[in-house]
Amino acid sequence: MTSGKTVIINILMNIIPQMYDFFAGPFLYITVPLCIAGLARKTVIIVSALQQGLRFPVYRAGYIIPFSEQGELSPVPFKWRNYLFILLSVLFHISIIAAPVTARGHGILLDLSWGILPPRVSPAVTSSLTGMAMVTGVLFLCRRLFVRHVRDISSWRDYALMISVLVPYVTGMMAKGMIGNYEIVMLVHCIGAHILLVAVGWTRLGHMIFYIAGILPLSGRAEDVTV
Amino acid sequence: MNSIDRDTIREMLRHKSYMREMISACSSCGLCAESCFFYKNTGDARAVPSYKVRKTLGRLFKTGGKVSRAELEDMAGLLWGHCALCRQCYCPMGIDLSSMMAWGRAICRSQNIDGVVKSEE
Repeated sequence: MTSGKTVIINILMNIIPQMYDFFAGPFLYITVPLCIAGLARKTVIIVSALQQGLRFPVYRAGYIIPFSEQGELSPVPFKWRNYLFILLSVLFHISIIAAPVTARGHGILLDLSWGILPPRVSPAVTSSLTGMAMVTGVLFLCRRLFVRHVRDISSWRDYALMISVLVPYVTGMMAKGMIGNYEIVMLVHCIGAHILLVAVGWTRLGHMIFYIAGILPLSGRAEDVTV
Repeated sequence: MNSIDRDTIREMLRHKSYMREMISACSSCGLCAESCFFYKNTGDARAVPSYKVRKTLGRLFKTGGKVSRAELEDMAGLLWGHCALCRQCYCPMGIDLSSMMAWGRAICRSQNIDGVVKSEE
């Protein structure tokens, strides 16, 4: 007679592959359109707002604080930690976009589904990009936890979104290194990626649209904000 | 006068509805804090520009303008008491935080709240 625990494990072992087949394939037909629809909605809102007079402000790297600690007008240049943050941010965003695009497993899935085989990229490149996404992501989390003014304005949503970004990369790396139960890790990887896709469209993770709109010449320019 | 005209608030929010999306794009990176002289001089988290915008205009959008007069007065405290509208707040996303604070002030003014502390009579 089999124990209850064995029965549950047997059921899970039967369900997980079916769930994986669903989340690694057909479910994309739901989440990808959702992601695109969310980003399109943001784009339409910005374009119509630009026509109503929205202007993105222009900044200079060295801005001026009207009253400094000394009580006088003085230029305050960007500090080194701001440049470090910008570098971190650029590396993070490049790696989170490039890593899934270059992953060979994703290419194989595309080939199986639609017969499109993307150009081959060395797995070492994908691993490096994934590692960079994880390291820079953890550094972002540390910044949020340990820099006072960032911690003060952070809510549980900011931490949840950051973790939702990192989950597919961590599990992807775990799957490649065969760390943990492969089926479960891959299932978490797929579900995490779907959550991330939807979140990009419908949460503040879609801030890329605003960033792009802000740097496009057609966005217009407000008056220079430096006094 | 203790009541507030929610229709006017709703109309003003509708007029600048895109600001809701701009607020929702804030990823709380904290870079705006370092450009705010109010925050630099006080170290008060309530002076961080993104905090001010979220707790005022963001809250108005979230509630659809259904706020009490006391809440609006608290918002006015943030908008006038912790901001000089110097337009120095920097946002890497290009969010015009000071315009939003100015619009938050306009909404408060439409309800005869101007952030000036009245002496008790």
